[in-house]
Amino acid sequence: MDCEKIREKLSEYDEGLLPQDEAGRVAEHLASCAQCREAYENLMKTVAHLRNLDDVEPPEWFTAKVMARVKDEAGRREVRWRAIFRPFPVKLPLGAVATALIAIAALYIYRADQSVTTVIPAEHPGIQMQPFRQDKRAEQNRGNTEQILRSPAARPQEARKKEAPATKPAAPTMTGATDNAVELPSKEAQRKDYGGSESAPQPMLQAELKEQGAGTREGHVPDAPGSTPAARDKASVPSAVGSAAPAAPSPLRYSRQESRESVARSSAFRPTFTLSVADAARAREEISQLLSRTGSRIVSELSLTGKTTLTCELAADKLPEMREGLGKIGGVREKGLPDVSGREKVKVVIEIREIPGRN
Amino acid sequence: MPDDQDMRNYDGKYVSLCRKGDTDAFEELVRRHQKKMLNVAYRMLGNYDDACEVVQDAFVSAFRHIGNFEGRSGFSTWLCSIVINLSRNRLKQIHSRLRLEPLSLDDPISTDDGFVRFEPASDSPSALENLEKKDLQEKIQKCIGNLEGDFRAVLVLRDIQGFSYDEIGEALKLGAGTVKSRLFRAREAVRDCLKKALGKL
Repeated sequence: MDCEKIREKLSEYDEGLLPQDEAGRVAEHLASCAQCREAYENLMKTVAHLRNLDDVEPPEWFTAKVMARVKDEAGRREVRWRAIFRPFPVKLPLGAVATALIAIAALYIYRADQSVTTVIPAEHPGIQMQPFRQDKRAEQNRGNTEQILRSPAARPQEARKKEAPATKPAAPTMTGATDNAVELPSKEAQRKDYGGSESAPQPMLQAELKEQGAGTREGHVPDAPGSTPAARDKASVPSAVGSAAPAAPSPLRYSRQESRESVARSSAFRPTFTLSVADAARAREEISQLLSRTGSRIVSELSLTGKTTLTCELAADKLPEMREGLGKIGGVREKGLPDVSGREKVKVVIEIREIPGRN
Repeated sequence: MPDDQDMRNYDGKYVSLCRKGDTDAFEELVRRHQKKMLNVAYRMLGNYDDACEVVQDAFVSAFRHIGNFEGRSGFSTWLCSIVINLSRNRLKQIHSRLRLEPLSLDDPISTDDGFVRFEPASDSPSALENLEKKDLQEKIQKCIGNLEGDFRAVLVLRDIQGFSYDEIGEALKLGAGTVKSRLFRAREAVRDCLKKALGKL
């Protein structure tokens, strides 16, 4: 063994960590090599110096100071469960967090609300425009109305034909309303009036109304949404017809505005089937069967004189079946049916209008 | 360590109490180990005040992470690894600070009145002895301070604090061979340094 290797083992030799045979060889070498012996002695002296270093004593306050910090730490650990609710290492101002959460919630609700309104297609703005458009039409139709008055039996049919191809649904309404108002005895008009302000001012409703006015002029009174006592009084006198039409617009707009709001509240301009039947009770029963066949659910039901409004919820792909089924029960008109398919749930309104003598 | 195993069991009892949040039990562990840890830190850093701060931090850290102490090694070994780590971090800080404002241990000490104060000479033999001893110890400490961090830690733990090779390997996350070779080189370096400083060993 050369000196270099011996010196590497001196530390272990000194501490008795070498295997016996190796330790023996080191001892042999040390006995014969003065240089290595000196190296060994120097090593032992060095280690002795290190071991003889005086220990320093901790200051008296040491334990107390450490324990003060430890207890502080322990106290903090006790409230650490709160970190579950505040997972950020930075302390956030609670008010700001709450405000942010409210803002996010508000945005979410607003967007959810929007998604409901988008279900209803173009009819929505159309309805808003209606009263104004009607106002104009009322003026235009005045002459028309006078014509009707001159030959009550023949004119309505003609008027209907004339209006039927019209794309604006509002147009026939005024014709019908004025038409009826002219002939109505005030009592009947009043009843109608009531019904009118309650019902939804939807285009097909007025279209139907016109049809009714044409088909069953005598005895039956269709909705006259625009009629007000003032307008009615004037209209009930044939000679006052000329002034009835111009007088109508402002109250008309008012009552429509009101009823539109009520509709917005109740059915939010839902897609609507309007069903004209002779026997409402029987139709209601048949509709019940149809609803159960199509797996629909009645959300709400409102019965008024001569009119029942059902709001139902059904899968979009059941709409054609519903349409067909209603067609078998009576005359159907539809409005605003969404262009959707699949299992998506849609809400539709079914209006049952009793028209005696129909069929 | 004559009763190493007893000590370990004794620590274990307090450690499990500490895990339940018993600060009194921890206080016992602090009392028991503070001197040893302070001396480890002091030999690592060569500065008493720094050593006190580092050991305080080490105890607080130990209390905070007592759940991480697996009990495989002794509590003292585990605590020691924390002290060594914090001491190394402190050394790095001191190093970077010294680089910015270089200071030497040989610089004259300036005092409040502007004069360099000398220790008064004493005729008594004990005073002289003390002075010599103090001088020697300072030189040894300076030699330890010349070692690189890893070598310093092994030397301090083994030759000054008497930890076993296994414990050192555990505390420093080193293999047995590495501990031995580092210790050998550290001792040689200190030996050469002392020879130079003292003229003879």
